[in-house]
Amino acid sequence: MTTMAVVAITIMIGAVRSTGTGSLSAFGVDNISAICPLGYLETLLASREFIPHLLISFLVIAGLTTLLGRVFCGWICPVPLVRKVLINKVDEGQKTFTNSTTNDDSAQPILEDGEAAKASCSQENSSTEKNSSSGLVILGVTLGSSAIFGFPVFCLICPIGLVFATLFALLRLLHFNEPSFDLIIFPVMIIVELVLLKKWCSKLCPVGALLSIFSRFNRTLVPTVDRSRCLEEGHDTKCQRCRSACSFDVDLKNGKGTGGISDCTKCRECADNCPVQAIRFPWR
Amino acid sequence: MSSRRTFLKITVGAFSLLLGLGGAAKILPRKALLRPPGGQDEAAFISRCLRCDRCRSVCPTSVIGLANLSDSILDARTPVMKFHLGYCNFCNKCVEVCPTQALKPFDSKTVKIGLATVQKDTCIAWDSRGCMVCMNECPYQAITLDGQGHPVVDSHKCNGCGLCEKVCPALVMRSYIGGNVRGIVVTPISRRGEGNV
Repeated sequence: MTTMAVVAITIMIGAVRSTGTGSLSAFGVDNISAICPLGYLETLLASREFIPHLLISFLVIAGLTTLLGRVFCGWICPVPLVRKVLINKVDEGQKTFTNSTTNDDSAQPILEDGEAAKASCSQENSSTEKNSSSGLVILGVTLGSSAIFGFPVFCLICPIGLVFATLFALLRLLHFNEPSFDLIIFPVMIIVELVLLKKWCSKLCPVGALLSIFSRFNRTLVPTVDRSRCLEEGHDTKCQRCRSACSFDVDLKNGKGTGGISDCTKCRECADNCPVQAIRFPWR
Repeated sequence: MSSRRTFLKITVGAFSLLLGLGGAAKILPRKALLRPPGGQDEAAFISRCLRCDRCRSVCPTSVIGLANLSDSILDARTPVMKFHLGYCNFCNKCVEVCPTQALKPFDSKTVKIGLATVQKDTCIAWDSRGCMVCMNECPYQAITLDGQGHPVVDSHKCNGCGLCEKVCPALVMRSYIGGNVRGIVVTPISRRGEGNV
């Protein structure tokens, strides 16, 4: 979470100081830039023109993701931060309540409004459906739509882009006194996306789905469970807090979750939520 | 079974959403916008622009601003030239930083961002004569005065750098309402009419 804030603040400082650093869609100095891998594929299909030096950037990101796993999702992407700051406030209160009464019930997400039916549906059969499959479909639709319409369609609603768009719109307002409805509409779009689609990150995000293709064989920087300490192993209780804290439903102990260990975004939520500190990451 | 149903729901939902959005963005009317130099081929530009903010942020004269949703869904967040804030000196930095070549390398001799157009109802020279600010400032000697002292733009010499719009004193001297009223404004050149507007 702190790294996300640092990244977002760095980008904003870059934007304020007119250094041309860009945003997460493309971040860089001079003519070297780390381009959003999904954006690269979208523009490639939309413009039907191959740009060699972008392929290098794409491959570097692919390689890093294979090597380090989905650290982008856990450390860099601002969406989990926005979710935590804006959206989870209400849920968290209820969650801790369920946590304290029954340990294993907390695996059920707290649902609201019309999406409840849909989401509970996916929850039921979470054991059969892997995280990545629906994301891959959306990835396919994303790429298909940019090929059909000739412009990157998903970029218009990408929450990562919209977070920075909101910040840039704010910057324009403060710097050039340029008010616009965007400053209201962009945050509303983010909130609608994240509130209605609670499983955005694990099930729907096409950027995450693309990264999950590369991270498939990743086994580094993953958390390990100290089974002698774990409540479930030694003390015969049904503690599932690590699994329920994980937004990707990775079951560290039995591997029964919808998320595999390659989905781990190294966000440390499991370790932070373990009541007996049985979960350790290689670096801490 | 219900697993497959969810799967289908997500697929159909995503499909209809993105297709609807893409279609709507394409169909809704768009007005021509002034793009940074090298982005004049609008179709090629919009297919590549990731809305990454690099060109806007690197621009040394701060002339590059952002289009809003009120311009159109498709144009929101893309870079546009705001000549009341600055002018283009064709320094090429925006083209250098553009990661996807939405802004293509341009020939500084032939590139045209737009064409300066005198606004007869706001121009000081049209109203009461005497103002020659744009003519004096134009780095390309594209503005001359006609017999009545009205500025005339030579469409071959003007490349739409926007300096005339930036320096135009109409707002300051005539107290129009609105921060970006000018007596001379750079207007987009439609692709078809290029060269003989």
